[in-house]
Amino acid sequence: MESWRSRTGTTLSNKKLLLRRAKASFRLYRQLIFISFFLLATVILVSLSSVQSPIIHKTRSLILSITTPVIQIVSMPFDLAKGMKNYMISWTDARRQSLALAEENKNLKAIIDSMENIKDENNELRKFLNVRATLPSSPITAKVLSYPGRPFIKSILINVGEEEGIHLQQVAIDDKGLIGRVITVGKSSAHILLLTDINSHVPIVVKDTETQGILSGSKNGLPLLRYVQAKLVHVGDVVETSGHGGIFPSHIPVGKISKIEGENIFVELFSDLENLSFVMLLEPLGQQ
Amino acid sequence: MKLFLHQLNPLLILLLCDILDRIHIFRFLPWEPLLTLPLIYHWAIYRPELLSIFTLLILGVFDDAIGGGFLGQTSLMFLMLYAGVLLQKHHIKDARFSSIWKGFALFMLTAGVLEWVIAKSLYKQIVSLNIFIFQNLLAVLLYPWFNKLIKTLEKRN
Repeated sequence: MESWRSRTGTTLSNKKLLLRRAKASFRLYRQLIFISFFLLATVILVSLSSVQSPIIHKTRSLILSITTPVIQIVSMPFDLAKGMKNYMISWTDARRQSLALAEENKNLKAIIDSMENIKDENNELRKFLNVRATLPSSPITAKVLSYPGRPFIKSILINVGEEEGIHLQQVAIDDKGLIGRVITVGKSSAHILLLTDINSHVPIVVKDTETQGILSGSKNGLPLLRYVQAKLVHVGDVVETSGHGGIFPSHIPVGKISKIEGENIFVELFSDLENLSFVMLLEPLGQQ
Repeated sequence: MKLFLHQLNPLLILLLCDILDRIHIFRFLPWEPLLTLPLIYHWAIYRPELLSIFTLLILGVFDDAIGGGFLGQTSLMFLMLYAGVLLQKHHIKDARFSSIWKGFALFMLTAGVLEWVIAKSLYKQIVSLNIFIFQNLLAVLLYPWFNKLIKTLEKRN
């Protein structure tokens, strides 16, 4: 009877070797069949998710409510390291910042004096025209938990949700300008769609020329200005929200035009969307 | 029960790695290597008993829930990659490390292409393929050290 040595050194007969190979093939094909069933299940799951099924929304909310505390705990050491790094940088930079702040303070005092008259005039005009204020009285501040991981989904996870009064379409800003808007809400967390996402479209106005348009995310990273003729704007023009569309309040700074290539107008955002720590959430325009 | 607990361990490790991917611990690098895919590749070849299909499904759904994508899109990618590794496992398993590394490079390239195809199909937008490729490139370059670390941790356990 012919025999072979197996990998472990034992001598196997021809039949035993064939049997072993057959079993391995059977196991492989069985696994592939199971994978096929699971692939079908995931396709169904993706289809349900794309039509915004309530079950999917509940599943997502449940997962987020369980994982949000875990993400907060896991990110604590990294946040601490980042804080220490920022502290060290600010400590070594203290003198330069102090001089810059003193100069800025002097300029701001002069601006405040001139602004007081404008403010009084503005209030009088608002009273006369019965215009409502566009900013809410109590915005909510949230900590950013996670950042965009995939190139085609630019959204961040924040640590506030339904329990804190967050709802869909709320506008998110930071100290520099507009960030995006809320697209999904869980019990204690929410997703914000960033301005750089290709599904983001914000009605804007170019401040100096009063040209209206739409700011849309693009695949290249820098958002694009759409429905605006390139000849009407210039590099360096400031872009802010126009207030049209019923979601974004007006006059929120967004960015400035960084380059114009043919009819493509690219906007460099004021906010650094890759290094957000905290964001503020405002009420959508229709609910103020 | 023992097998269930045995498999829960890799699931927890993969979930933790996914969270670490999300909080951008490597933000100082030009591209951030993904931590989950090298683990999936390694366990699919050397320790398939630790990596069940159900684990990959849960991991993918978890990743999509945190990331804001359609639930199931990442599971789709993981399962297809896993099937690909299973089919080639008998070629790679006892090969030299250079062949395993080449296999991993192919695995990551396939992951990038699959992600691009899924994104294009679901989001109906054309996103540059380069982004997907370069994101996975760093993981390929760091794979030897990663492989050594995993094997050292497994020996200790």
